[in-house]
Amino acid sequence: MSSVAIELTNLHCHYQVYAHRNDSIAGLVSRGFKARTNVAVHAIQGIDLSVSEGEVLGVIGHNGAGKSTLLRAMSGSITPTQGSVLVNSQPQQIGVNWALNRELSGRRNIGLGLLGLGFSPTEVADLEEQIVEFADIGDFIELPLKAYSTGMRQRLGFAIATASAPRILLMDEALAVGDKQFRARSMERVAELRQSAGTVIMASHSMPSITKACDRVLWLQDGKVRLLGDPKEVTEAYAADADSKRNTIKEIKRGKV
Amino acid sequence: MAAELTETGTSSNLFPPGAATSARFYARRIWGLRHFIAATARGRLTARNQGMILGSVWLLLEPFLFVMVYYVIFEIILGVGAIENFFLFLTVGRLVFASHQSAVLGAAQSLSDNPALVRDTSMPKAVLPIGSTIGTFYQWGLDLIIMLLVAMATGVFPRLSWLLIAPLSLGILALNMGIGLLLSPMVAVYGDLKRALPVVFRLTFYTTGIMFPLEAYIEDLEHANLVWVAVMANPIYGFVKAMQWAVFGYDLGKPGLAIAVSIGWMFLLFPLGFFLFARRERRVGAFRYKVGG
Repeated sequence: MSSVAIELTNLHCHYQVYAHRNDSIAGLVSRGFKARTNVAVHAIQGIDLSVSEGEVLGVIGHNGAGKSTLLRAMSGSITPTQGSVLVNSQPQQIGVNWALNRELSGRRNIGLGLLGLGFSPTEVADLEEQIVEFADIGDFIELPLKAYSTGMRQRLGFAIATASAPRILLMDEALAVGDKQFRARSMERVAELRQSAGTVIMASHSMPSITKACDRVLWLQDGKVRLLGDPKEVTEAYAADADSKRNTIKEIKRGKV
Repeated sequence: MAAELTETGTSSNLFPPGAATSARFYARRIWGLRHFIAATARGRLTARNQGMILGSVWLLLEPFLFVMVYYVIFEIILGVGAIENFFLFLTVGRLVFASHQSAVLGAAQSLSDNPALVRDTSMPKAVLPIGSTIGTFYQWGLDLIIMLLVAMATGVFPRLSWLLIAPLSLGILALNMGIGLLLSPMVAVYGDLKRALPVVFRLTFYTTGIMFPLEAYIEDLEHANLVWVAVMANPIYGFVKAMQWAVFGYDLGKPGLAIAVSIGWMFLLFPLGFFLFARRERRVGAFRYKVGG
């Protein structure tokens, strides 16, 4: 049995969201300036999970099920409200290359992205060409990022995040964009990472890529684990659930329910 | 069981992700990102003037033109001669104060202006206010060039006290960072401060005496007066006076106290701001953010 890479114990994540009511001056005065109502969103409600080294875990669920929050808690960008997250290495999340500056060229952004991952300027110089090659976006690499298509940005982000061979990689819909060829190469890269005892967590709506790449799949519903296990079984159960919901809606429309 | 492991930190190679750690480790993580902070700050500076004909020339042109406005108004039109070398007095004061103001306001809003970054990054979030102040510090380096050119144009030539400009600049940087680290989490929670802070700066602009030699007015008031206390307690006042003295030997009257107060603020606010910021980040839900704007 390989050792544990990520350990979630009774994980809860809540956000405070401000819901604004009547913001007129009269409204504010009459309510004693209590215009903001805090609404707590319970995005994750008690998850226990242990992910092994070298495992690829898929996370599926409807929009708002808590997939992105789960990944953010794993990367440590949000602190759990309750319970704990423990990791054996700082996870890297693809697509949150917030260091990327839209006004600067792709090449300069590679430097920023790598420095942000903690690389020294000399290491950056070594890795740069490799990333340019993997991203494979041609002459666009010298143009400012704002000229890029969504797919190009995603390619560059993926290339930067995986260049460092992270021990834990978090992918939130990272493969959704990008053409078929790049998707295939990304999957290869994921397989490589897994070979070198890397752990990959991928949240996706694409069932084929989930079943193909993952060892286990986690189905999230309303911030809780609905089902966890074999990719084929879980995705089939998920699809069946979606189908039954769709049928119910059809029946409502027909006036049967 | 896992919760116990976090407390003891032994018997396992597992640890909490992100920056939820002690202030010392927090500082070490930021130090590890120093190249990143510097590169982002430089990137932001170059990006700001991209797509313009003069491009990065604006970085020098902007402070120069501001100083020229003062020259036209006060030297040519009004011909104010309250003190010797009034034009240089204005130039130094205005550049130091403007840099201080933009550094503090930029850092204070660095969290609230970037909710998505605050939410998504697993870097220490202090990277945002610190990076913002560093960016202003790069601009300050260019402001200094303009300042010293103006000094030489008005007949003040390099002197030994110019050597003090560098340590004074670093002192102002540390002060700005401290205030920024203290304010940014507050601004993120209480957006109202965004409107209030510029007003506070307008007030301190006058109590720093940028447009007139304040010293002449407060000299007679001395310790008993609240105005005198308000001027002396202003953290940037001493730095402005010290810079004016270093550049052209401005007579401060009683320089020691104001400068000591400024340096005192710096040594108090920088560690305090950093420590509180690091502690806050460890707390649950400390950085609340709005969803959907």
